[in-house]
Amino acid sequence: MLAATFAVPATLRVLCLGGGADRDRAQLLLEFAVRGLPADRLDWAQAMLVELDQVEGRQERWQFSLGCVWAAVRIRVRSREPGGALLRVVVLGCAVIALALVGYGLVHYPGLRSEPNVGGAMIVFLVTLLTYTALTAFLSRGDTQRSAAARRYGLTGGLAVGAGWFLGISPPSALKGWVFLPLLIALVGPATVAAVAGHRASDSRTGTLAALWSGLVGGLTVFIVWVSVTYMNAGGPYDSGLVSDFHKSNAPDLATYAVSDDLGSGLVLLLMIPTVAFALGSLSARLAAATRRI
Amino acid sequence: MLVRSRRPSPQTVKVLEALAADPSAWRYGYELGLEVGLRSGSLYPILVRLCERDLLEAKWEDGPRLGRPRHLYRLTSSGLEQAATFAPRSVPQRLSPRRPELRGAS
Repeated sequence: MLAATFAVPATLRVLCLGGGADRDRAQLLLEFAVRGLPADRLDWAQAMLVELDQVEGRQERWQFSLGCVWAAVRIRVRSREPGGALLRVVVLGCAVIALALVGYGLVHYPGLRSEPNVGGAMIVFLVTLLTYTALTAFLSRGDTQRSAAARRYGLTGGLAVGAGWFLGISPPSALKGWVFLPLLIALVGPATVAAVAGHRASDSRTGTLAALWSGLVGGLTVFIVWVSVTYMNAGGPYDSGLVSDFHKSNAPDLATYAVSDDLGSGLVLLLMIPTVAFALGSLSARLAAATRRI
Repeated sequence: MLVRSRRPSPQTVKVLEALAADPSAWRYGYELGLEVGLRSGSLYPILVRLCERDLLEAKWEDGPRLGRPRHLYRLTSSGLEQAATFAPRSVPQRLSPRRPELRGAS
Protein backbone atom coordinates (compact mmCIF):
# COMPACT_ATOMS: atom_id res chain seq x y z
CA MET A 1 0.00 0.00 0.00
CA LEU A 2 2.83 2.34 0.91
CA ALA A 3 4.67 1.45 -2.28
CA ALA A 4 1.51 2.18 -4.24
CA THR A 5 1.12 5.49 -2.40
CA PHE A 6 4.66 6.78 -2.82
CA ALA A 7 6.84 4.76 -5.17
CA VAL A 8 4.41 4.25 -8.06
CA PRO A 9 3.43 7.93 -8.41
CA ALA A 10 7.10 8.95 -8.15
CA THR A 11 8.05 6.50 -10.91
CA LEU A 12 5.18 7.68 -13.07
CA ARG A 13 6.27 11.28 -12.54
CA VAL A 14 9.77 10.39 -13.74
CA LEU A 15 8.37 8.66 -16.80
CA CYS A 16 5.73 11.26 -17.60
CA LEU A 17 7.46 14.57 -16.99
CA GLY A 18 8.02 16.77 -19.98
CA GLY A 19 4.56 17.11 -21.41
CA GLY A 20 4.15 13.51 -22.46
CA ALA A 21 6.34 13.51 -25.55
CA ASP A 22 8.05 10.13 -26.08
CA ARG A 23 11.28 11.92 -26.88
CA ASP A 24 11.33 13.51 -23.44
CA ARG A 25 10.40 10.32 -21.61
CA ALA A 26 13.29 8.38 -23.12
CA GLN A 27 15.60 11.27 -22.31
CA LEU A 28 14.28 11.61 -18.76
CA LEU A 29 14.74 7.92 -18.08
CA LEU A 30 18.34 8.12 -19.25
CA GLU A 31 18.99 11.34 -17.28
CA PHE A 32 17.63 9.59 -14.18
CA ALA A 33 19.78 6.49 -14.75
CA VAL A 34 23.09 8.28 -15.34
CA ARG A 35 22.75 10.24 -12.09
CA GLY A 36 24.30 7.29 -10.29
CA LEU A 37 27.50 7.39 -12.33
CA PRO A 38 30.67 8.48 -10.52
CA ALA A 39 32.35 11.82 -11.19
CA ASP A 40 35.01 10.30 -13.45
CA ARG A 41 32.32 8.83 -15.70
CA LEU A 42 30.24 11.98 -16.18
CA ASP A 43 31.68 12.49 -19.67
CA TRP A 44 30.24 9.14 -20.67
CA ALA A 45 26.89 10.05 -19.15
CA GLN A 46 26.85 13.26 -21.18
CA ALA A 47 28.04 11.43 -24.31
CA MET A 48 25.11 8.99 -24.14
CA LEU A 49 22.61 11.79 -23.51
CA VAL A 50 23.87 13.81 -26.47
CA GLU A 51 23.82 10.77 -28.77
CA LEU A 52 20.18 10.21 -27.86
CA ASP A 53 19.45 13.58 -29.48
CA GLN A 54 20.50 12.03 -32.81
CA VAL A 55 18.15 9.06 -32.61
CA GLU A 56 14.89 9.43 -34.52
CA GLY A 57 11.74 7.40 -34.04
CA ARG A 58 9.91 6.44 -30.88
CA GLN A 59 10.95 2.79 -30.78
CA GLU A 60 14.57 3.52 -31.69
CA ARG A 61 14.82 6.20 -29.03
CA TRP A 62 13.46 3.88 -26.36
CA GLN A 63 15.81 1.09 -27.46
CA PHE A 64 18.80 3.42 -27.38
CA SER A 65 17.79 4.89 -24.02
CA LEU A 66 17.18 1.50 -22.37
CA GLY A 67 20.48 0.24 -23.78
CA CYS A 68 22.26 3.23 -22.27
CA VAL A 69 20.55 2.58 -18.91
CA TRP A 70 21.97 -0.94 -19.01
CA ALA A 71 25.36 0.48 -20.04
CA ALA A 72 25.23 2.90 -17.08
CA VAL A 73 24.57 -0.01 -14.70
CA ARG A 74 27.52 -1.96 -16.15
CA ILE A 75 29.82 1.09 -16.05
CA ARG A 76 28.77 1.82 -12.45
CA VAL A 77 29.34 -1.71 -11.23
CA ARG A 78 32.80 -1.84 -12.85
CA SER A 79 33.76 1.54 -11.40
CA ARG A 80 36.57 1.54 -8.88
CA GLU A 81 35.54 4.88 -7.40
CA PRO A 82 36.60 5.04 -3.74
CA GLY A 83 34.34 5.55 -0.74
CA GLY A 84 31.42 3.74 0.85
CA ALA A 85 33.28 0.60 1.94
CA LEU A 86 31.95 0.81 5.52
CA LEU A 87 28.36 1.10 4.33
CA ARG A 88 28.77 -1.83 1.94
CA VAL A 89 30.29 -3.94 4.72
CA VAL A 90 27.42 -3.06 7.09
CA VAL A 91 24.67 -3.78 4.54
CA LEU A 92 26.30 -6.97 3.28
CA GLY A 93 27.06 -8.10 6.86
CA CYS A 94 23.45 -7.46 7.95
CA ALA A 95 22.13 -9.31 4.87
CA VAL A 96 24.33 -12.33 5.67
CA ILE A 97 23.22 -12.30 9.33
CA ALA A 98 19.55 -12.04 8.26
CA LEU A 99 20.01 -14.98 5.91
CA ALA A 100 21.76 -17.01 8.63
CA LEU A 101 18.96 -16.25 11.11
CA VAL A 102 16.28 -17.47 8.70
CA GLY A 103 18.39 -20.55 7.94
CA TYR A 104 18.69 -21.23 11.68
CA GLY A 105 14.91 -20.97 12.06
CA LEU A 106 14.28 -23.45 9.24
CA VAL A 107 16.68 -25.94 10.86
CA HIS A 108 15.64 -25.41 14.50
CA TYR A 109 11.89 -25.38 13.75
CA PRO A 110 11.50 -27.99 11.00
CA GLY A 111 7.76 -27.46 10.99
CA LEU A 112 8.37 -24.09 9.33
CA ARG A 113 9.42 -25.87 6.13
CA SER A 114 5.98 -27.41 5.69
CA GLU A 115 4.12 -24.15 6.37
CA PRO A 116 1.91 -22.98 3.51
CA ASN A 117 3.46 -20.16 1.42
CA VAL A 118 6.96 -20.76 2.81
CA GLY A 119 8.36 -20.98 -0.75
CA GLY A 120 6.82 -17.66 -1.77
CA ALA A 121 7.98 -15.97 1.43
CA MET A 122 11.53 -17.25 0.90
CA ILE A 123 11.57 -15.91 -2.66
CA VAL A 124 10.37 -12.48 -1.48
CA PHE A 125 12.97 -12.53 1.31
CA LEU A 126 15.87 -13.47 -0.98
CA VAL A 127 14.86 -10.97 -3.69
CA THR A 128 14.61 -8.25 -1.03
CA LEU A 129 18.09 -8.99 0.33
CA LEU A 130 19.50 -9.12 -3.20
CA THR A 131 17.85 -5.81 -4.10
CA TYR A 132 19.18 -4.08 -0.98
CA THR A 133 22.75 -5.29 -1.51
CA ALA A 134 22.61 -4.47 -5.25
CA LEU A 135 21.34 -0.94 -4.51
CA THR A 136 24.16 -0.46 -2.03
CA ALA A 137 26.78 -1.81 -4.43
CA PHE A 138 25.46 0.44 -7.22
CA LEU A 139 24.93 3.72 -5.35
CA SER A 140 27.27 3.75 -2.34
CA ARG A 141 30.54 4.73 -4.03
CA GLY A 142 31.78 8.30 -4.25
CA ASP A 143 34.34 10.39 -2.41
CA THR A 144 32.63 13.77 -2.63
CA GLN A 145 31.70 15.53 0.60
CA ARG A 146 28.01 15.14 -0.20
CA SER A 147 28.10 11.40 -0.83
CA ALA A 148 30.19 10.92 2.32
CA ALA A 149 27.69 13.02 4.32
CA ALA A 150 24.76 11.00 2.93
CA ARG A 151 26.44 7.76 3.99
CA ARG A 152 27.38 9.11 7.43
CA TYR A 153 23.88 10.40 8.21
CA GLY A 154 22.24 7.34 6.67
CA LEU A 155 24.33 4.87 8.60
CA THR A 156 23.81 6.75 11.87
CA GLY A 157 20.05 6.98 11.29
CA GLY A 158 19.75 3.33 10.31
CA LEU A 159 21.70 2.09 13.33
CA ALA A 160 19.61 4.38 15.57
CA VAL A 161 16.44 2.78 14.21
CA GLY A 162 17.87 -0.69 14.94
CA ALA A 163 18.97 0.38 18.43
CA GLY A 164 15.52 1.86 19.11
CA TRP A 165 13.89 -1.47 18.27
CA PHE A 166 16.41 -3.35 20.37
CA LEU A 167 15.67 -1.14 23.40
CA GLY A 168 11.96 -1.30 22.72
CA ILE A 169 11.41 -5.05 22.34
CA SER A 170 14.29 -6.89 23.97
CA PRO A 171 13.72 -8.05 27.56
CA PRO A 172 14.26 -6.67 30.14
CA SER A 173 13.25 -3.45 28.50
CA ALA A 174 13.52 -0.07 30.14
CA LEU A 175 11.04 1.16 27.55
CA LYS A 176 8.53 -1.67 27.94
CA GLY A 177 5.52 0.58 28.26
CA TRP A 178 6.39 2.63 25.20
CA VAL A 179 5.00 0.19 22.67
CA PHE A 180 4.85 2.69 19.82
CA LEU A 181 8.33 4.10 20.36
CA PRO A 182 10.15 1.69 18.00
CA LEU A 183 7.60 2.32 15.24
CA LEU A 184 7.88 6.04 15.79
CA ILE A 185 11.68 5.88 15.57
CA ALA A 186 11.44 3.82 12.36
CA LEU A 187 9.11 6.36 10.78
CA VAL A 188 10.55 9.63 12.05
CA GLY A 189 14.25 8.71 12.32
CA PRO A 190 15.12 8.39 8.60
CA ALA A 191 12.95 11.40 7.71
CA THR A 192 14.78 13.51 10.32
CA VAL A 193 18.18 12.28 9.15
CA ALA A 194 17.25 13.08 5.53
CA ALA A 195 16.02 16.55 6.47
CA VAL A 196 19.22 17.36 8.41
CA ALA A 197 21.45 16.00 5.61
CA GLY A 198 19.47 17.83 2.92
CA HIS A 199 19.46 21.06 4.90
CA ARG A 200 23.18 21.01 5.69
CA ALA A 201 24.17 20.15 2.14
CA SER A 202 21.52 22.46 0.58
CA ASP A 203 20.90 19.56 -1.74
CA SER A 204 17.89 17.25 -1.74
CA ARG A 205 19.86 14.42 -3.39
CA THR A 206 22.16 14.16 -0.37
CA GLY A 207 19.12 13.96 1.92
CA THR A 208 17.37 11.43 -0.31
CA LEU A 209 20.45 9.21 -0.35
CA ALA A 210 20.73 9.54 3.44
CA ALA A 211 17.09 8.44 3.69
CA LEU A 212 17.80 5.45 1.46
CA TRP A 213 20.81 4.36 3.50
CA SER A 214 19.05 4.85 6.83
CA GLY A 215 16.05 2.90 5.51
CA LEU A 216 18.14 -0.01 4.26
CA VAL A 217 20.33 -0.23 7.36
CA GLY A 218 17.31 0.37 9.62
CA GLY A 219 15.20 -2.29 7.90
CA LEU A 220 17.96 -4.88 8.08
CA THR A 221 18.92 -4.18 11.70
CA VAL A 222 15.27 -4.19 12.81
CA PHE A 223 14.78 -7.54 11.07
CA ILE A 224 17.84 -8.95 12.86
CA VAL A 225 16.71 -7.63 16.27
CA TRP A 226 13.13 -8.80 15.73
CA VAL A 227 14.05 -12.34 14.64
CA SER A 228 16.75 -12.72 17.33
CA VAL A 229 14.29 -11.75 20.09
CA THR A 230 11.73 -14.13 18.57
CA TYR A 231 14.18 -17.05 18.78
CA MET A 232 15.24 -16.10 22.33
CA ASN A 233 11.60 -16.30 23.47
CA ALA A 234 10.61 -19.17 21.14
CA GLY A 235 8.03 -16.84 19.63
CA GLY A 236 6.58 -15.92 23.07
CA PRO A 237 4.96 -14.44 25.02
CA TYR A 238 1.86 -16.24 23.77
CA ASP A 239 -1.38 -14.34 24.11
CA SER A 240 -4.85 -15.90 23.97
CA GLY A 241 -5.39 -14.77 20.36
CA LEU A 242 -2.22 -16.52 19.24
CA VAL A 243 -3.15 -19.73 21.10
CA SER A 244 -6.63 -19.65 19.57
CA ASP A 245 -5.21 -19.15 16.05
CA PHE A 246 -2.72 -21.96 16.63
CA HIS A 247 -5.55 -24.44 17.28
CA LYS A 248 -7.04 -23.57 13.88
CA SER A 249 -3.69 -24.01 12.11
CA ASN A 250 -1.82 -27.11 10.97
CA ALA A 251 1.36 -26.11 12.82
CA PRO A 252 2.99 -28.99 14.78
CA ASP A 253 3.45 -26.95 17.98
CA LEU A 254 2.76 -23.52 19.44
CA ALA A 255 6.41 -22.36 19.28
CA THR A 256 6.65 -23.17 15.56
CA TYR A 257 3.40 -21.36 14.91
CA ALA A 258 4.51 -18.28 16.89
CA VAL A 259 7.95 -18.19 15.24
CA SER A 260 6.35 -18.53 11.80
CA ASP A 261 4.01 -15.65 12.65
CA ASP A 262 6.91 -13.49 13.84
CA LEU A 263 9.05 -14.29 10.78
CA GLY A 264 6.17 -13.10 8.61
CA SER A 265 6.02 -9.85 10.61
CA GLY A 266 9.81 -9.53 10.31
CA LEU A 267 9.56 -9.80 6.53
CA VAL A 268 6.90 -7.07 6.48
CA LEU A 269 9.19 -4.83 8.57
CA LEU A 270 12.11 -5.60 6.26
CA LEU A 271 10.04 -4.39 3.30
CA MET A 272 8.13 -1.59 5.00
CA ILE A 273 10.85 0.29 6.87
CA PRO A 274 13.07 1.06 3.84
CA THR A 275 10.02 1.95 1.71
CA VAL A 276 8.57 4.34 4.27
CA ALA A 277 12.01 5.74 5.14
CA PHE A 278 12.75 6.45 1.48
CA ALA A 279 9.33 7.96 0.78
CA LEU A 280 9.19 10.21 3.85
CA GLY A 281 12.93 10.93 3.72
CA SER A 282 12.90 12.10 0.10
CA LEU A 283 9.99 14.37 0.87
CA SER A 284 11.59 15.86 3.97
CA ALA A 285 14.96 16.22 2.17
CA ARG A 286 13.31 18.21 -0.62
CA LEU A 287 11.54 20.43 1.88
CA ALA A 288 14.69 20.96 3.94
CA ALA A 289 16.83 21.77 0.88
CA ALA A 290 14.16 24.17 -0.38
CA THR A 291 13.93 26.01 2.97
CA ARG A 292 17.72 26.34 3.02
CA ARG A 293 17.71 27.96 -0.42
CA ILE A 294 14.94 30.43 0.47
CA MET B 1 58.56 -12.71 -19.28
CA LEU B 2 56.26 -12.83 -22.25
CA VAL B 3 52.93 -11.16 -21.52
CA ARG B 4 50.07 -12.22 -23.76
CA SER B 5 47.14 -9.90 -24.00
CA ARG B 6 43.77 -11.66 -23.61
CA ARG B 7 41.75 -12.01 -26.76
CA PRO B 8 38.99 -9.40 -26.76
CA SER B 9 35.33 -10.39 -27.09
CA PRO B 10 33.83 -10.74 -30.61
CA GLN B 11 31.88 -7.51 -30.02
CA THR B 12 35.07 -5.65 -29.09
CA VAL B 13 36.80 -7.02 -32.20
CA LYS B 14 33.91 -5.68 -34.31
CA VAL B 15 34.39 -2.23 -32.78
CA LEU B 16 38.16 -2.40 -33.34
CA GLU B 17 37.58 -3.49 -36.94
CA ALA B 18 35.21 -0.63 -37.66
CA LEU B 19 37.49 1.98 -36.10
CA ALA B 20 40.60 0.56 -37.76
CA ALA B 21 39.02 0.70 -41.22
CA ASP B 22 39.62 4.46 -41.25
CA PRO B 23 41.93 5.10 -38.30
CA SER B 24 42.34 8.81 -38.80
CA ALA B 25 38.60 9.55 -38.71
CA TRP B 26 36.82 10.56 -35.54
CA ARG B 27 33.59 8.58 -35.12
CA TYR B 28 30.28 9.19 -33.36
CA GLY B 29 28.95 6.58 -30.92
CA TYR B 30 25.47 6.20 -32.41
CA GLU B 31 26.68 5.74 -36.00
CA LEU B 32 29.43 3.38 -34.83
CA GLY B 33 26.83 1.24 -33.05
CA LEU B 34 24.67 1.08 -36.19
CA GLU B 35 27.69 0.15 -38.31
CA VAL B 36 28.82 -2.73 -36.12
CA GLY B 37 25.30 -3.83 -35.19
CA LEU B 38 25.75 -3.31 -31.45
CA ARG B 39 23.12 -1.79 -29.20
CA SER B 40 24.08 1.06 -26.90
CA GLY B 41 24.01 -1.28 -23.87
CA SER B 42 26.91 -3.27 -25.32
CA LEU B 43 28.71 -0.51 -27.21
CA TYR B 44 29.33 2.01 -24.42
CA PRO B 45 30.86 -0.39 -21.88
CA ILE B 46 33.22 -1.52 -24.68
CA LEU B 47 34.17 2.08 -25.51
CA VAL B 48 34.75 2.84 -21.81
CA ARG B 49 36.95 -0.24 -21.45
CA LEU B 50 38.97 0.59 -24.59
CA CYS B 51 39.51 4.13 -23.28
CA GLU B 52 40.63 2.81 -19.87
CA ARG B 53 43.23 0.65 -21.63
CA ASP B 54 44.43 3.59 -23.75
CA LEU B 55 43.34 1.83 -26.92
CA LEU B 56 40.82 4.52 -27.75
CA GLU B 57 40.93 8.28 -27.54
CA ALA B 58 37.82 10.36 -27.00
CA LYS B 59 37.17 14.06 -27.36
CA TRP B 60 34.26 16.47 -27.58
CA GLU B 61 33.31 17.87 -30.96
CA ASP B 62 34.37 21.47 -31.62
CA GLY B 63 31.55 23.87 -32.52
CA PRO B 64 28.96 21.52 -34.03
CA ARG B 65 26.74 22.89 -36.78
CA LEU B 66 23.61 21.70 -35.02
CA GLY B 67 22.81 20.92 -31.40
CA ARG B 68 25.14 20.03 -28.56
CA PRO B 69 28.75 18.89 -29.09
CA ARG B 70 29.01 15.11 -29.46
CA HIS B 71 31.62 12.70 -28.16
CA LEU B 72 34.07 11.47 -30.79
CA TYR B 73 36.24 8.37 -30.82
CA ARG B 74 39.19 6.94 -32.70
CA LEU B 75 41.88 4.36 -32.02
CA THR B 76 45.23 5.26 -30.48
CA SER B 77 48.44 3.73 -31.81
CA SER B 78 48.09 0.93 -29.25
CA GLY B 79 44.49 0.46 -30.33
CA LEU B 80 45.56 0.16 -33.92
CA GLU B 81 48.17 -2.42 -32.93
CA GLN B 82 45.48 -4.33 -31.09
CA ALA B 83 43.24 -4.15 -34.16
CA ALA B 84 46.12 -5.36 -36.36
CA THR B 85 46.58 -8.33 -34.02
CA PHE B 86 42.97 -9.38 -33.60
CA ALA B 87 41.31 -8.02 -36.75
CA PRO B 88 44.19 -7.82 -39.28
CA ARG B 89 41.97 -7.64 -42.39
CA SER B 90 40.37 -4.41 -41.19
CA VAL B 91 43.63 -2.42 -40.88
CA PRO B 92 44.51 -0.70 -44.17
CA GLN B 93 47.75 -2.09 -45.63
CA ARG B 94 49.19 1.36 -46.24
CA LEU B 95 49.04 2.11 -42.52
CA SER B 96 51.49 0.50 -40.21
CA PRO B 97 50.31 -0.19 -36.65
CA ARG B 98 52.40 2.77 -35.59
CA ARG B 99 50.38 5.42 -37.30
CA PRO B 100 52.86 8.00 -38.60
CA GLU B 101 50.47 10.89 -38.89
CA LEU B 102 46.79 11.46 -38.51
CA ARG B 103 44.50 13.41 -40.68
CA GLY B 104 42.44 16.21 -39.17
CA ALA B 105 39.39 15.53 -37.05
CA SER B 106 36.26 14.20 -38.79
